[in-house]
Amino acid sequence: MKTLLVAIAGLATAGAALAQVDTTRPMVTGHGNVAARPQKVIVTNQTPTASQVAATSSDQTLTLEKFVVTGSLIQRPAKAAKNR
Amino acid sequence: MLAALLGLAADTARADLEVYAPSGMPTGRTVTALQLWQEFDHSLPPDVWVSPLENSRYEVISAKWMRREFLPALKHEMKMLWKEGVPQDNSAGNCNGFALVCRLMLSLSAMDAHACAPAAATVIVRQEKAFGGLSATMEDHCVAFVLTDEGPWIIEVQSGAYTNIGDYPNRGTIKLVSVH
Repeated sequence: MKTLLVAIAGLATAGAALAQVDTTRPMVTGHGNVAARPQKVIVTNQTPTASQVAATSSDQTLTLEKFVVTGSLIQRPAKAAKNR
Repeated sequence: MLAALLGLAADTARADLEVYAPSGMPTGRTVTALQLWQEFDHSLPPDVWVSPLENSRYEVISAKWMRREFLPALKHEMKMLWKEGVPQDNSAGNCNGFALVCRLMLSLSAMDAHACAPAAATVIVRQEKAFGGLSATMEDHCVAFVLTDEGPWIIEVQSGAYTNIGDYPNRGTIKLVSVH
């Protein structure tokens, strides 16, 4: 019975967490809205403030890298390559 | 005569790029924005960034239609772009550009069918393992995500290769999902 109650409470908590997600705001899988994790998410190329450093020292920080997407294309047939 | 010749010369000098989007997309099966987020949350590893979902509903795409109509059209489109000699490095013709073409084709098909916006996204991933004809470049790469009625797919748009996201070899190194 205790197990069942815990399971139900767990499901209710999970359901509440999902319902709280605002899908019109940026999200991170496993965490929900970025805004719901103040000072737990930083973007690179920004110098963290002293309060951010203090806040993140006790918890893992998520980092959004600046993505550099290269033109790593599939090898094309030799004939097509000659035309370039 | 001269006008005709000039017209012909102008025609041959132009190299318009065309995008063909197949029609006949089956419609009627949709998900809410929250359901689409849950799909991402369940199928992707933790700490993947997901862009805001601006629509209230998204169209789930028929896997059968994808295989029969869309993927052949996508492959044809890629062939046409290669034929035009679109430069690859530091240009619009990189993997991100091709993924956007794939999504544009899906959007046009959805418009033609008067459907909701396709449940599709651009995915930035670190290509640590070979997939769909592209070797393990160890670089950031761009592929397409499509939620089909057979589950979520990852498509290597340049070859038309696809797999269920659970079997995608680079699932663990997905970094960002952009729906809009």
